[in-house]
Amino acid sequence: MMGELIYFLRFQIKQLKAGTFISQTKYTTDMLKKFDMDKAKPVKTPMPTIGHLDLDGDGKAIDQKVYRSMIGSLIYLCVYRPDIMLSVCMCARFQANPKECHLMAIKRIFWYLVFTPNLGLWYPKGSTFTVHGYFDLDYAGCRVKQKSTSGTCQFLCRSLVS
Amino acid sequence: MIGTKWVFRNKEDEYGVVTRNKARLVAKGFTQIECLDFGETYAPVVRLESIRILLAFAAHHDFKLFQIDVKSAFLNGSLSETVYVEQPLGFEDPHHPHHIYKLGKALYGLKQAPRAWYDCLKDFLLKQGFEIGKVDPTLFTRKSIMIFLYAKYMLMILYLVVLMQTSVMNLVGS
Repeated sequence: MMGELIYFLRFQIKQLKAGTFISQTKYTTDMLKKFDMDKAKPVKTPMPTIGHLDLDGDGKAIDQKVYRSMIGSLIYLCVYRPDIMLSVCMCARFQANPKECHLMAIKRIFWYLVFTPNLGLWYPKGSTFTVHGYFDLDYAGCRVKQKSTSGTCQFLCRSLVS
Repeated sequence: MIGTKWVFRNKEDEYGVVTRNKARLVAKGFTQIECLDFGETYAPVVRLESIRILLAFAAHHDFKLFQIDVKSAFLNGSLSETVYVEQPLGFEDPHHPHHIYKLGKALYGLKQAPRAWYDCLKDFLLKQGFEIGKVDPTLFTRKSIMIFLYAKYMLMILYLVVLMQTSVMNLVGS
């Protein structure tokens, strides 16, 4: 397999005149099929606006193995899908003791992926090669332990790099 | 001494049709004993941030990126330890059925195979005038050529990606 960079580590890369587009469309559809979600009804958002989950000690316990493999698949998808990063990390906190409400939150992410399987990152041809950083913080937002959630993103010219 | 096993795989294309049948001899690495059969096993894997920075950099400068795949990469790494393996199933010597093989090069499944391959490739690239990345040891750079090294342990396939910019490619790109 030698030649122009097209498909690599399960990323699809399109090198166009105006820039480069990277997506994980094939990975997304394969993953949806694997978890039997490809026929699910699409949802436009990855989580509800009041999306904070709690431990839900009385909830019905579910299979930890399935839950963890879902999280694992989604984390790899986060590489070029920062839009689901927050929701996935939120669900990942409850891996030790997953309940039915956590599984529903994960399914919500899958439904969102059914709606948007083609999203990816767009790296345009830039003019200035400078670094911009953005930062946001949710102070003591976690319902379980009052911990804060923070997030950063860095742009190299107009391309998201981390 | 380490046992060996044949692994058979069907390769499918994107529509799920079987295109190739592959057979690969692997070593039973789980029977290896530390210090005796292997020493260091750590091998660096690329950081995803490096890929993204490189892609952003390439897009910004209008470079065209290319990829290379090294076939059965792990078999190229040479071993610093002496490792003995059993005769592969179906290929036993009828005259000497109890003899064993001494490995000269790494085999898939050996614990030190990824590291051996990384060392092998590193030596080669350094000899070619590349410089090793300070933060990411899988990024090799040379003036006007950049190389990334990837090891995918799940499939034990190693991707070597050569990303190069030449004036000809620039003409094609723009």
